[in-house]
Amino acid sequence: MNTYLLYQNIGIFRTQEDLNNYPQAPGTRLGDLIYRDVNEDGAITADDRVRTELGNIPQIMYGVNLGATYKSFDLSVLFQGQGRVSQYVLPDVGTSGNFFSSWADNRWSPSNPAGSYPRVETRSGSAVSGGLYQNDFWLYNTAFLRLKNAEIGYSLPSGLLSKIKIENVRLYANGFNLLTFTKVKDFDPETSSSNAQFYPQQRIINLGVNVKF
Amino acid sequence: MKSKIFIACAIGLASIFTSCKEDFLDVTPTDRLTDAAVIGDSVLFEAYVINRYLGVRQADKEADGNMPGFGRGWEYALWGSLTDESIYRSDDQTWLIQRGQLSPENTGIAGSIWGRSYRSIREVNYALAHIDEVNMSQSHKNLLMAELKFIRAFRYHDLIRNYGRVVLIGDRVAELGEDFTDPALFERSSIEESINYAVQQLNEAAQGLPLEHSRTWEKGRATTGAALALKSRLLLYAASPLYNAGTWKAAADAAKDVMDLNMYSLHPDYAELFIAEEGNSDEIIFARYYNLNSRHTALEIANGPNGYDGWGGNTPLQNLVDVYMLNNGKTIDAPTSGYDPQNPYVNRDPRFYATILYNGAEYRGSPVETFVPGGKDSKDGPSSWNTSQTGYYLHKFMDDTNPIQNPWNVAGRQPWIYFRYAEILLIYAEAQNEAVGPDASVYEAVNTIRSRPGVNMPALPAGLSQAEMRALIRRERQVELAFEEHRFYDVRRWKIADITENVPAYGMELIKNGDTFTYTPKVALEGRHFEEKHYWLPIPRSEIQASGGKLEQNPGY
Repeated sequence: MNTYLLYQNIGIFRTQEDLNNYPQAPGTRLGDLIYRDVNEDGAITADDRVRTELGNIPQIMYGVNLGATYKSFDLSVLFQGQGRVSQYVLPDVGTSGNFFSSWADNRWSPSNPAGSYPRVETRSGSAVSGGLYQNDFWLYNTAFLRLKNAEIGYSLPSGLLSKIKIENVRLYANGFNLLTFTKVKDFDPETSSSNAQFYPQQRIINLGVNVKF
Repeated sequence: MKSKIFIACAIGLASIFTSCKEDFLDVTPTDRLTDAAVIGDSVLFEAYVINRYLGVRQADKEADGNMPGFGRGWEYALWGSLTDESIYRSDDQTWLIQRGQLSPENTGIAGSIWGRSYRSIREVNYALAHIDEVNMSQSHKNLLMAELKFIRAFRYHDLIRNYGRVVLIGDRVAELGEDFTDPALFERSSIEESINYAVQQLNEAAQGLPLEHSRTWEKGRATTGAALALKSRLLLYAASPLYNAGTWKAAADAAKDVMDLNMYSLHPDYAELFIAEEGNSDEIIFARYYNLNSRHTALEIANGPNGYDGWGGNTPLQNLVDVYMLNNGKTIDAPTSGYDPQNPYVNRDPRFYATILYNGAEYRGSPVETFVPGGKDSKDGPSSWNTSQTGYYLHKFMDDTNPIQNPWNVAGRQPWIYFRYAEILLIYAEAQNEAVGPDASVYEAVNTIRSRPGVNMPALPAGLSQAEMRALIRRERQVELAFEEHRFYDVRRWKIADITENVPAYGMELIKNGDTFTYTPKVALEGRHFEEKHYWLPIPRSEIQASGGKLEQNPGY
């Protein structure tokens, strides 16, 4: 479900020789992506697009809820994750927005001919290596494992408290989105936005006291 | 008690006997009209016919304000931004056309003409096929049939000038479930056959349509003049080098037919012509009208300079600016013109001021400032992302009585003019010059336009050769008809697009130093490019697929 129909990139045009050797989309220059000529007709057309194996609806979603108590301490942890999932993200950038730093820092340019990202255009949506030829360079493996929620608590000894007519006092600290293990560096892997316009999830840390009379 | 049981049984029995009507799924929809309702009611039928002047939204970034009519019309990105008139600042799928990246799978904003036109042609054919069944006087039926033929011919005109050879479907009304495997259904006729068909339809329409608008034939509906005007444009295209499918004499005669109606004349004020909502000008032959309840996009905010809180949408190019003559009738490159590249905006053709906002132009009570550093309409001004890359902003069509900020309930009422008298004069001048050379009638047609009171440019010099006159008429069209969806088709039919559309998209950079400005041309949009195949648009890939591969693509794509 929700798989993509994309051109397959097989690298970046780095030399004039590359430009001579591979068919290219109109307007291609050095620093643009090379697309695979899947039907081998010598031209890059819509017939060269390939359905991706994975879409942005994960085939696997999982969660683990762990809890433990030891003497006056208690601990609960929720891990959450997804697997076998891909998300297409082409940030809407140029004169209209900001680049991911990983693209900006590693972009191909005449002075950085070994750059791992294609050259930048006035608008990514109008670029041969971007919106004009939606391609799998911008397809990210958004599998992740995230420490979604963790809480640690300590209850004060009740003997002491009963004297001041308090039944129970518990000090605790909890946090949301504390750790994320993923290959995605530039954005929240939980997004479903294909232009990276979304509000990322916040990391929240709370400290608190429960008092019961 | 007994009676209660009896009633209960009766209800039970009644429901058993009535609940299984066989057609309970065949409900009459309440949110739309059925075919039978439209054909059975003469008022609804006429409304159906009138709505054929409008089309459906086919693509993203289209019909942002209102339903599309013919061509493109009022949208955020104007059709002129596919030419050397302007660029659209925020792209909206126009740059790929400027850059020659058009392909059947990437048609940009030029992908919906095919689908929308054929849909409309089928709808027209549906009305023509059923008009006999409508309860209406024969004379009124004749009027509507003429109107339908005009609309159909206009759709074919849209198709022909974009795709060249088209599929002529006659009066056929295709229905779902029919057999579409016959390749003949998708066969494209020659350009000559296509134009002849449309012209013959327009001859019939011109005969049947009323000459003037009236209480019963409202503005916006086709008239004899509209049909003859469309015919003259088609015949002008037909005679042009790219089409090579007709004679210049036929085009000149067709334009003369419109002139001989003696109904149309030039509006004295060039700028005002494009603004009045009522459009009660004798220059307007056929237009689409808007009003408070049915508006198009708010042009002033869409195109206004960033210093006025506009979005700087369609920004004119230096390529167009340089075409405007000095008001002494000389081109800027003429040695005695008096043109000063370091003070370029003085003493120009008055239509320049009506069309383009430039550094120093008075606009809404303050001068436009595109200079750096510090100009309020440059990148140093507010909302720098809305700054023109060309150093110019669009002035034509802008109504200064509309607010730029918060225009949503008032702006968007300018008519979109499909045909006006100045175009007819220019069609006549061009065709007559090609047919017989620059005779007195050619001079008169062009000079009438140039001597319009609000323009008042000097008459063309006497003794021009045919080639000199041709060049001046082309320049006159570029100036007079700027941003009215002509340039795109003109450079193609003249077969000069491989030159004009390969010129970079130039803007002007102004640097202020004390009280002096330095003017330096710069490229405003990288990569402008045109190839032979771009003389015609590609038919969208989806249409080729829908035909089962039987529809023939234009060459080169």
